[in-house]
Amino acid sequence: MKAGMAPLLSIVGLKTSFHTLDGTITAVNGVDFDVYPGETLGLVGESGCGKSVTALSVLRLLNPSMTTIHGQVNFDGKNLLSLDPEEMRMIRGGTISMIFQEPMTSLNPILTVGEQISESLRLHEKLGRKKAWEKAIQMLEIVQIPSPELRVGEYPHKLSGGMRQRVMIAMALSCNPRLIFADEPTTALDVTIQAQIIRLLEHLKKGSNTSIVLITHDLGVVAQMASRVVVMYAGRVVEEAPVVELFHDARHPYTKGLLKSVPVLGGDKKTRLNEIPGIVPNLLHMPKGCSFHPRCSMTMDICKKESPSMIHFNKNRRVACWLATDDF
Amino acid sequence: MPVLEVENLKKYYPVRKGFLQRTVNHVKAVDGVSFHLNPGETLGLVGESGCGKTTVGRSILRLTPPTAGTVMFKGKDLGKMDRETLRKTRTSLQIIFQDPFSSLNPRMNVGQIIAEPIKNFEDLSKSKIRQRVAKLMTRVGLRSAQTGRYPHEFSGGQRQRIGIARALAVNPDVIICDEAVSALDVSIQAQIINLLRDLQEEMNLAYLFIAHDLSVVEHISHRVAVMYLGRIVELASARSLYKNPLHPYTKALLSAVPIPDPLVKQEQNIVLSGDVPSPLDPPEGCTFHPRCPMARDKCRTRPGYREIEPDHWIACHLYP
Repeated sequence: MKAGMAPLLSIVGLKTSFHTLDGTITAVNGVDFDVYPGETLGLVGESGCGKSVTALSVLRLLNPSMTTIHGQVNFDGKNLLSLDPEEMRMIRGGTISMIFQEPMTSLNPILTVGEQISESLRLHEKLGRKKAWEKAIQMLEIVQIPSPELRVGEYPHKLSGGMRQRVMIAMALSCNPRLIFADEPTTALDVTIQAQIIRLLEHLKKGSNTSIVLITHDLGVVAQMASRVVVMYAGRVVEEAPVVELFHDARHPYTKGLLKSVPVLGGDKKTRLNEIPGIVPNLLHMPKGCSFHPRCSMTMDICKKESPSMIHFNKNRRVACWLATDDF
Repeated sequence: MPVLEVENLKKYYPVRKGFLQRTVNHVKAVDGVSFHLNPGETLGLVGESGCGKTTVGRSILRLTPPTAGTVMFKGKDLGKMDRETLRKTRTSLQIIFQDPFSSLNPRMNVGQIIAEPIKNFEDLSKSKIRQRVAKLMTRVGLRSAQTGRYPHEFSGGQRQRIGIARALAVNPDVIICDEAVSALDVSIQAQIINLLRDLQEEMNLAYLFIAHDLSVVEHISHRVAVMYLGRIVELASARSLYKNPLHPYTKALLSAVPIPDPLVKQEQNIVLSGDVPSPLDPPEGCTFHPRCPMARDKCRTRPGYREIEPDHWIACHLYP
């Protein structure tokens, strides 16, 4: 991405499996990507492709008795996966934080907004009770909540969806993180509120060198916010590209199909939407070969037999498809 | 003649308080909505959460009886029908719900789910019903061999197909699609939208397409109505509403949609401040005026809803 710059986060061969009664499900199957300082990386894919599990694995928020995580997550010279729980706790919510999708369920209903924001301030920044409370008010002001000194003492149920999402953002930002995982931060919101949140995140990012991993299925939000995009399908990365190249010169048939299946404002109404036939494969019964081949319109014999390896065109451009060749 | 005419539809929910549970206030979920729907046409109904769009759909079907207003189906007032006539008329008015997970009975298999409306309204032999179910399933893209399966064995998109087959089972004229594709992934959403369009052409169905996704609504609708706090603020053909939106709310709504093209930079979009006010205590006059960038003194009075260009209706003081 930026020449000579070292990545802030580097995920290498991440593999996350869940042990269920029906068998072992590999939700993330060998994912690699880097996040550079100050950039917004879009992580795109449909439900069940493993994008949220990737974030939860990095932050080690999955129950270790039911999951196995392999690979490396290098952050700041440390492999997060080999830290002991206490060391991880000092990073989580501090230098790496997360904005969850559901502002309705991810805030604690029996603690006031102020208590929830000051909790991480007291742990990570070692602030006293009073100082942390004051900082919480300040944070609410930064995320543009009206009358923050009143709101800080309220419980989440008194706030609207957009306000709760702002509180989540305030919590995520409170300890000046270097990296934020934003998991569908605007999906549950109405468009006018979504526009407010997008604008807020962009505004906040300008003032700091924080990197954001934006996890979403909304291609519109990705196009407007991300500078680089990683597309996932069935637990693997299928394509990576800078945002303009991805939207105008996608190489993987899945990415192409995805882009063509969204209706666009002002688009041609007469044409049918492009549909990707079939459904996302069941992770318990993954197809042999390329996991996209049963839905792909360009399947060849080899796709049914062997999984394609990743082809790197340059530092920012890679695709996992048998159709991709070095010179195309 | 329109297949459905809705005139001044209102739905107020009482707010009760205290020991005697006296009605202290009303939530005006729908506050005077009028429109018509032609055969074979799709009318999109858009708006943000809480604007009353779902309540409009439910009040039309009398799933929740409206407080005031009339709903005419082919010239007959649904509100004045006796129970039996209303029950029979319901075959012509069907609904597809948003959540394909909670709108199908988990204890019934697909065959039973689709056969239920047929059994309810028509006196057919078992084998005839079975044939019809099989035909419907194939039509919506399910395999008829799957009749014995239960809803949990299907994915979201397939369940929505089951819901569509159930709605089609009694040959309706009108289908109310309440956020029918909102819960689906984009690739599946495209499948269902295409299916709905094909069925409309084939069977001359009229859709009231309730959704919050403006791009989807534009794609599928012939005409579009925009709702805000229980009222329609603008109604026009999809073409003119999207090319030439007049109401400041419609403009803001359209400019807030993120365009899936990184080369189109949306720096100029109108970002509305604040949230939608509570319908318990809506602002005086034009309910949009506290958030409206163009608001003036006049907006404290309620604007009339009128046709300012042929087939372009609007409720806003900016257009005298």
